Amino acid sequence: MTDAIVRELRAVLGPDQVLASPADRVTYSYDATYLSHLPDVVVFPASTEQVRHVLAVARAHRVPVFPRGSGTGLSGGSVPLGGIALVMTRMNRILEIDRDNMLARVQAGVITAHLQETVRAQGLFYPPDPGSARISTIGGNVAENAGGPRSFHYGTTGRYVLGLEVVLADGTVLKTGGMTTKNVTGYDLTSLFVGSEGTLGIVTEVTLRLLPPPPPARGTLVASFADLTALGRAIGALAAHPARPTSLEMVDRHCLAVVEAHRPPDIPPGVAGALLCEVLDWPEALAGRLRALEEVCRGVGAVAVSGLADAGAQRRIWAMREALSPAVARIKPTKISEDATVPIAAIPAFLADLEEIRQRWRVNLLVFGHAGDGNLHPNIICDERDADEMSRVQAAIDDIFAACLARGGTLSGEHGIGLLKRRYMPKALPPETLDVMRRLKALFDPDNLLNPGKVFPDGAVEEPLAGRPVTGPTATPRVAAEPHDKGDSANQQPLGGRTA
Amino acid sequence: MRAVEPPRNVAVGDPHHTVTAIGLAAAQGEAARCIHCGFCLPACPTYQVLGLEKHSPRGRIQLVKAWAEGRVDADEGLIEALDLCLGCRACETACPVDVRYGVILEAARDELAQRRAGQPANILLKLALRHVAAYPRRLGLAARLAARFLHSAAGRQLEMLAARRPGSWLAAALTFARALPSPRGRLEAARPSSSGGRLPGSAAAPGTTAPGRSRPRAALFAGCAQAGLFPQVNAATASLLAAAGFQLEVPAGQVCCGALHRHHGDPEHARALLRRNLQAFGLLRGEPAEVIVFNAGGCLAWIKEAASLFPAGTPEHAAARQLGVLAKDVAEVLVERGWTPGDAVQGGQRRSLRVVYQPSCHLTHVCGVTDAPLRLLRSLPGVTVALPSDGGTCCGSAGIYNALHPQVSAAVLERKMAAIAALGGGPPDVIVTSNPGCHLQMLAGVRQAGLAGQVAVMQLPEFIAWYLARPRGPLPPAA
Repeated sequence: MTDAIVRELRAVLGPDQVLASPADRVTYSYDATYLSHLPDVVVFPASTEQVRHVLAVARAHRVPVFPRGSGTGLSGGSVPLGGIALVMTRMNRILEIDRDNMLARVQAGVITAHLQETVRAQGLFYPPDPGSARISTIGGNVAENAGGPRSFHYGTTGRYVLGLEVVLADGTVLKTGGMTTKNVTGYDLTSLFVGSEGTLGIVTEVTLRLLPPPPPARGTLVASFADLTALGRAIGALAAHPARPTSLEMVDRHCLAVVEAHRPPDIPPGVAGALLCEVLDWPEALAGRLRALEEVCRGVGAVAVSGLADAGAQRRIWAMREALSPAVARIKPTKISEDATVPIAAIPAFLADLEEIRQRWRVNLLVFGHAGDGNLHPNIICDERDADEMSRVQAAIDDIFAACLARGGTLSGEHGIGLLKRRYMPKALPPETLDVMRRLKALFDPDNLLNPGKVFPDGAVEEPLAGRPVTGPTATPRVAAEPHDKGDSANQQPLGGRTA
Repeated sequence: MRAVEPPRNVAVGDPHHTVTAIGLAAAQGEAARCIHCGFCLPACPTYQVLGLEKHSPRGRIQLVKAWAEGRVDADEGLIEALDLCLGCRACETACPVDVRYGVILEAARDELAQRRAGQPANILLKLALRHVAAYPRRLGLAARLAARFLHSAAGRQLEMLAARRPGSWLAAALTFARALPSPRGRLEAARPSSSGGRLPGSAAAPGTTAPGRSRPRAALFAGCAQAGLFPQVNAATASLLAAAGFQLEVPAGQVCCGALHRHHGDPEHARALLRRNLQAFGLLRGEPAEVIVFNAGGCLAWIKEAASLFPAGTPEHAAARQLGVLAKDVAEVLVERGWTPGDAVQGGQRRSLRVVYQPSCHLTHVCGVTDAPLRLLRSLPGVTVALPSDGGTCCGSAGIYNALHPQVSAAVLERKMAAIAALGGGPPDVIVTSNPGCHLQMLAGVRQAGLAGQVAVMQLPEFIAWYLARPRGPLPPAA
């Protein structure tokens, strides 16, 4: 059966664009989470028309299609569950940069940083700055509504999407939105697709709003706090101040301990946490603004504050931040990055919850993240080969999301639900809301061909994770049903993945 | 049942196997640390050229892991993926969690090499590496023979065939073959003499003065490709070291560093060569020079990691570790000595020169030597220095990669030349490199880009010595 599908795909795309060797399947089985599952076949469409052809084959054989860009996602949203892995990286052309209207039209596979650099060379600015911008694709950013540090000031990817070209499951090529920033002509279908994680259609083309570049002077504000309550107050005060910074990041004391060797003189030893802010302004205004922000932090009880305009001093701060990931990785091999997001006034209480969870389950939990958006990244450092530890990690994650929701928060700020968080969906959303989402999914994709098994907590998705086809008769992959692939998976055991 | 056993099951009786078994255990540990974030993808030249995940570091690591766990067979795409890796190790610099990709690659390649040891192509490669590549004179002779062949009737026929098939294996292979220099005359002199002693032209560069302090002993590692194909680079290195006040030795009995043998699955021979070098450089006798100077980034990088060939606790292991500490790149040595070629320049303004520095990947990513070469070059009056717009990623030379995989190498090289052109302002006057393989590749690149006769290609010591010797002369001779 798979052979027939591969033959048909090759006939419509050409042999170079359809790969089915074990090496190709293995290397398109993962994203940046610990999840992985083999696709049956990997395809690389080069045009919207070719995407339509792939979907036609998928419909004919009822084989699921799993779209992906560069595979840097953090929710399992692009991990294939058998079926066709649809890789968008060959649709990587910037079709148009319209300087007069300040917008860009790009294919979905354009690398985010490539777009940023190209528009910068023309005196324009594309603000979203996900951590993976040098690797990620615009299509992936749209699918997960990616954010980044500067989202605090500039908003997430969705704010910049003016219009989309989307191939629907039935082959319809849908155009949404337009070329204007204001647009109330009918329903806002563009926003419906942003963050839909490839479950409603395959985004092939994106029209993006561009801005003038930010002011050229860069400053850094670093403020340290003896307790998390004061740190939480400072987040609120900074966010509400007219001089508010461009980004507002935090690191807790566990993070600071890990990068102690890199601790800059601006952060005293032994503090509970620190805020790191980027401030972009005009050179003549920068010093005054940094002073105003220093005052705000002192007013809420910071134990040390520095507003830095000197490039070398700023570099030390951000070098410490950059040193965090490798330093954390040296502790233990497995890193579980969560994306819990709470209203900003709830940050102090949520940080206290996290500290309690850390102690309750004896897990190595570090917190950093985009505090200004309430978008915290509780990271648990563990070893997937240690079953006892992993069961405690799972319990801790359950508690993190329970606490997050109890504080009025949400499951994901910028990573999406994917596979990792779908089991929490019934707790996060009222049944009516989830039901409307299901009806929308059924409307756009009645045969459940597009990225099935993602976002929704439904039981049907447990089968494919154990190495069986999702819907309809795809051949059982020869190398799929390994212990490796099992329980990545199963709703009950999302962490069991690679313990075998 | 899989045709191929998981590599961890290798027998441990044979000493060679012991080394790979230890290596594979380390490789699996390293592979487990990869968080597959993909940060290596933009740093990887083959991923950029080929666009497939299996030709990226992340993909190769996951493939090796799948292979070790018995989920994929070697011949199901793994061999191709590992063969096409340049081994430039730019991914290690890009990795946010410091995965040592080189450990994984080396162990997997060792294992593959053993399985393929009986294949004719691999026997031939092993023989060629053992008996030609490691000997400067034979290498020089081979280069001359290749040049003579290309000028023969048969060679011209091949050229015509290749011209009809641009992009073919043959066309790509000929691009590299044509770039081989054929050093004439006193090849003999390029080799360390039996008494040690001086290299031709190694007198202190004119206009320089030796600092008036103690003269530390520096031993020059002459290399095989360097000595055989680019003897002038060793001579220039010697002259710069002398100008900086070193007491120079070129120890007799030194041989090829063994990097190519090691990277192509012949650790036995690499070990034998290393043992001879330990002897030649006085490390086994405990009387090495204060610094052992390398001018080839690839050799230096390997020597810094070579102690792994000997079991810990043996005298050879200790000596090889000491060699790794004493071994330094010539630019690093000169900068640490406080010698700046710009200070040695006398006289007024000279004509301006546009230089592109294309660093050796292993010098950058394994040895971490990035600033010293730029500092030396930037100290020269009138010289402006830029890295290619790609920041100096691999040129596609990668040891003998261009000979083994000419088409991919040519594609990587094409991007490199585009990255040099993207700097704007027309072709540079000189492309400066820091490794003989890169030197060869850039010679080919200059031809491939249609810049023959316009751009000179030199290695760093060679360029600096040329500059100091000709205060007001014309541009360096173009490639």
